[in-house]
Amino acid sequence: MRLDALRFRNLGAFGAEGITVEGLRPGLNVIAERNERGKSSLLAGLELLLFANHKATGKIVTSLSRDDGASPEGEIDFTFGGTEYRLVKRFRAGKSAELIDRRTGQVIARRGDAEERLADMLGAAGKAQGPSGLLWVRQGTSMSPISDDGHVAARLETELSTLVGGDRARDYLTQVENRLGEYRTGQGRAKKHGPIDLAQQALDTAQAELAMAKQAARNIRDTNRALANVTAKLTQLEEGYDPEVASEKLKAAQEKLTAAKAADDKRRAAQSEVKRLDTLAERATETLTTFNEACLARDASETEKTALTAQLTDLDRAHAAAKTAHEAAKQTVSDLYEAREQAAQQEKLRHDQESLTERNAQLQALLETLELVENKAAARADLIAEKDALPPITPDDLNTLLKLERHHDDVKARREQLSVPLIFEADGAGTLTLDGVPVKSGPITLSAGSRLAIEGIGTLRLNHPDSEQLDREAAQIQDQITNWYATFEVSSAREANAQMQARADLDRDLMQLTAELRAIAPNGRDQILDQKERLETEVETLAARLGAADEIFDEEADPADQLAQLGAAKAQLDAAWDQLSEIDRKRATLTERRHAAEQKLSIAAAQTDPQHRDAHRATLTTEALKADQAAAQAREALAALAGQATSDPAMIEADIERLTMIQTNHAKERETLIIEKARLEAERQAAFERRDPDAEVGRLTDQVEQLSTELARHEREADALTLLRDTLVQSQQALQDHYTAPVRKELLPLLRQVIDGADLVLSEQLGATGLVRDGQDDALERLSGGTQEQIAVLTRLAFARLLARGGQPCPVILDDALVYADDQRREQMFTVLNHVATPNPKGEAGLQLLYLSCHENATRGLGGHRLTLERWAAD
Amino acid sequence: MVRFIHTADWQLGKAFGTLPDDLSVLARKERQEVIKRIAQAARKNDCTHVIVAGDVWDSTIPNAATIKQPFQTIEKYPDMTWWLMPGNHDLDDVDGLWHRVEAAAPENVRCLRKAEPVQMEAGTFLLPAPWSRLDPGQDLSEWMDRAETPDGAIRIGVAHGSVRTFGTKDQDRDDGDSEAIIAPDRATRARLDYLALGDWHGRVAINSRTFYSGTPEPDRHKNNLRGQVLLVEIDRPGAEPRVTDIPTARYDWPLIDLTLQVDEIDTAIKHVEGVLREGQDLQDTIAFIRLSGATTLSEWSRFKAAIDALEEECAALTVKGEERLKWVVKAEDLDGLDAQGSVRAAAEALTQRRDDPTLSQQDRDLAAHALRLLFGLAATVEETAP
Repeated sequence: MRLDALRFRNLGAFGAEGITVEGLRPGLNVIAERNERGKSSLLAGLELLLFANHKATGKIVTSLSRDDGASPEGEIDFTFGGTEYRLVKRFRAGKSAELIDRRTGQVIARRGDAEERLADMLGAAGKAQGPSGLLWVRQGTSMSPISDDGHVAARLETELSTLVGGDRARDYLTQVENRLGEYRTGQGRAKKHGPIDLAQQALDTAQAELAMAKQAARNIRDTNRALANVTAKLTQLEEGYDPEVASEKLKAAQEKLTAAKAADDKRRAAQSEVKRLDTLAERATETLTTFNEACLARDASETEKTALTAQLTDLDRAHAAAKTAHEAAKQTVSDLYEAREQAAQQEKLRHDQESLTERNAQLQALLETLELVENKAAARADLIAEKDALPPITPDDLNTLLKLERHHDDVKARREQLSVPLIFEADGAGTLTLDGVPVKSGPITLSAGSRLAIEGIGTLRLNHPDSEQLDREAAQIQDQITNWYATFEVSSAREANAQMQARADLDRDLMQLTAELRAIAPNGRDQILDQKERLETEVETLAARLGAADEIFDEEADPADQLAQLGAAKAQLDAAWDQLSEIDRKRATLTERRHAAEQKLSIAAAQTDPQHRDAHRATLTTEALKADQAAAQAREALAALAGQATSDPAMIEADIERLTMIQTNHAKERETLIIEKARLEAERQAAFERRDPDAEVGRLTDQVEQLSTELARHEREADALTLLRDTLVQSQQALQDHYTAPVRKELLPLLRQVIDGADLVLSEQLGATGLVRDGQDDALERLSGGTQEQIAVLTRLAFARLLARGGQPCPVILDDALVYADDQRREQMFTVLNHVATPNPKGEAGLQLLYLSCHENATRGLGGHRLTLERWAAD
Repeated sequence: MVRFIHTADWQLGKAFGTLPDDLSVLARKERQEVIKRIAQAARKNDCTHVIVAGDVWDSTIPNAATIKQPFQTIEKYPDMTWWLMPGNHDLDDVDGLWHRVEAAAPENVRCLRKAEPVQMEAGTFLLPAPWSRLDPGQDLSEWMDRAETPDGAIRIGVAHGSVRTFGTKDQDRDDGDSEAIIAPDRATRARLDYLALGDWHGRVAINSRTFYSGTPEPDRHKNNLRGQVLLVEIDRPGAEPRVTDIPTARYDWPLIDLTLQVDEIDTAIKHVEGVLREGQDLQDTIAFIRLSGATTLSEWSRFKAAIDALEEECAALTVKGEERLKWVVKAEDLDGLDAQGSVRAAAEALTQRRDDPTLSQQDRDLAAHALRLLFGLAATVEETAP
């Protein structure tokens, strides 16, 4: 379809005078008019005539009707399939619709037929936006994303010879996802309260109930077993026990115990009597024995005392003799010690006398040495005094003086050598003398100190610049020399040297003398004086001691003899002492023994009398015999009792205890078993009043199996749904990729004209859902308004080109569709619009575009065929 | 002549956990109700004795009500003597069941708790082989060979257990519940005029004198389960007994093993309907269909519809094995799946996955399941399409 002209009246902004746009061409048509000029009404009229039934009275008509009630009407001239048509429609009063062949002016169809023919040509019956929303891009809707409503798809399917899932595939997928959603969450877990969850819960519950039921059944069986066990025990207990027999046995045992206890008491009494009488007999025998022994002991003590007394008398005598011998030996030893002391004293006196002689000789020699030392010391003092009188000039001092003098001489020499060469040319008028010597013509030298006398004129002297310095230096040296002499109190170097030599000679003499003194008294004079004093003291001490002593004998005692005598005397003394000690010891022993004997005798005084002794012994003997006889009789009686055979009461008591315990235990056990039996019966009875336990187990076992099967079935169903969903998605994706390729091929060059290097993500409905730039994928809704708008327009252009190639050309109307574009993008979009509106080199026609704008300036760069809104002349 | 009713395996108190709750209660109650029908059958046939050859109760620890309820019926027939013997389910052991039974039983109940001859009536002796432990380890009927009875007496053995050998149990064959064996020729060896056996829930004649009566009210899905009791008539000692089946069950429990084949779904549906309708009314039929084989989506839809219709009529109808079916995808199925591409591509991918030998059976089954779901979606769309 291609639009050629549009005319409207009594519609929107257009009154009875109407409006017309004539001369629309293939390619780009532009209407740029300011606001309120009726562009919107123009588009509304176009939509009304193309898509609204001429009988329509609804909002689409009323919203465009004017207040004066005039009927909206209009004409659209268009070309389709090479035929030029005119669509004429009137709404409300006088409503009509006609499709006219413009070349012939013939009405081809009227009313409904006309509208059906039109819809067929539009290829979009009932679609106010035109095929795939291409026809209109209204003000304010330009940003709306576009998607295919099947027209592009149908075109592509024809071209690709392939089938796309389309609505049915989407419907299947939705159904599968819905059904899967009943089973599982998006994360693959069982959905809460879904079939899997419910089956699992039911299974868990049934399993728990089954476990409880099994336990209940086990409990009943355990109770039954316990009851059978208790019953068997009770039977066994009662079968093996006769209470009467047990009572009789117990009674007999108790009687037997009474008899046995009586016999036992008798025997114990007899045993006590035997024991008592045995004790008495034993004591009587002991008394007799003790008495006899006491008599014998007294006699022995008497005899012993007598013997001991005699022995002690002998010992007293021996003791006196030994004591005498000891005293004699003691005197001998004392005498010998005294003799030895005297001999030692004599020896010592002789030694002192020898020492005194020796010390006197030593003292004399020392006095002589002392005199020599004192002489030498006096000579040395003289030499020191002589030396001290000479100046202490050292060779270094003398060298210093000599150096000063040489230096002084040197300075003076340099002073003397200062001169100036002169040339004397005698003219004969006068005489020239140098230091009084006449000078002839020729060169002369005027030295320092020299005088050049010019006769009749005067005298010339050398005034050299160094002379003053040298004079000061010579004066300083002279001062040092003068000071040296003053220091050492000499007047010349020679004198100084002579005194220095004299002093050296005195030093040598002093050294000689000192060496001699050291040889005589190496440790000094004081030490000789100390020795002298010590020797004098010793001599005085020795002389005093000798003066005080007795006479000194010339004969000397032999110490060896003295020692031998002393040893022998000591041996005698020790022997005498030993003998004395031995006697004392024996005397002490015997004295003690005699004392003991006397003690015994004093104790046994009662047995002294023989008559009394015998009578007492007879009495004791009689008592012992009687006691023995009584004990023997008692033992006989006890033996008679022991011979009587009786049972052990302890054994009988144990037997009674045993029989009693049997009786008690039986009663207790029976009671326990009866109670236990009753309890178990009650427990079982209670259990059997409840649900049938095994039936419950069977029922729940069946249920668990069934629920397990059901759960598995649900799981399997969910798995199958998951597989089906994944397979459907994969299949759709694979086909979609193939299917969207032509759209992408058409769209991408246009898009890249506007956005360099960009790519688009297309949905299954072929609409753009995202933009890829620099590898970044942005969802369409996140893009700027301008970019969204441009993509929406470009997608429409791509769809329109695809449809045009498929033989279904369709005009695209853009009503201020680029309001969000910046200047650069708008320019790029204008280029694209011109490109798609221009026939290409392959001979394919360009799209028909109608671009409406209220921005005249903004559309200047668009180019295209400019149209204006003109008044529609009345019929 | 002696005449009596031979029955066994009442298994009173048995639970039916796999059945819906209401049906489970009914089925359990029916095991008590069948005693009335047994009593009526006995009265109708002039029988004064009913011999129950073991497993009167399902457990050794039934609750008091389960023990007492049958006696409420039995004591209403005081002219009949009910001979009850412990079986492997209701052992006479430490659980003390039979003490409780004897304590609760009316006078016309006799418990056969000892392996010794018991005079049933003049000239007729019962030789019971009661169970007192779960693993008897011997043929409990062996003692019958040596049992002494008066000359000319009719000897009736009563035993419970299998006549097959150990280790030959088959899940689907009714071999009874016990592991015990009874010599198949026990009747001959022990000079029995009749050997009344219990344990197998189906009615089986081992020989002319040895019979399993089966349970009077079936309780499981086995091939030959139609509940009945046996009317046994013995004219004189040594005479061959006349045995007559008397149906007593309310519920049928058919098991249908159904192997589906492509293009044969109508035959399968007819077979199912035939089996279900040949017994009790469907409202008293508790059926189980075990599926195998292969089918297509469209055939399965037809089959499912038929089964759903039958299920509405039956007391219970369980179908299992759907996940084991091989779903055959025909070209027309794919074409009919959708006019457009991605659904078809998904179906082809799932079909390929289902047939991929490198995948595990579980994964292949899952793919088949997903494929079936996809076809199910398509079918729903077709059904709802105007």
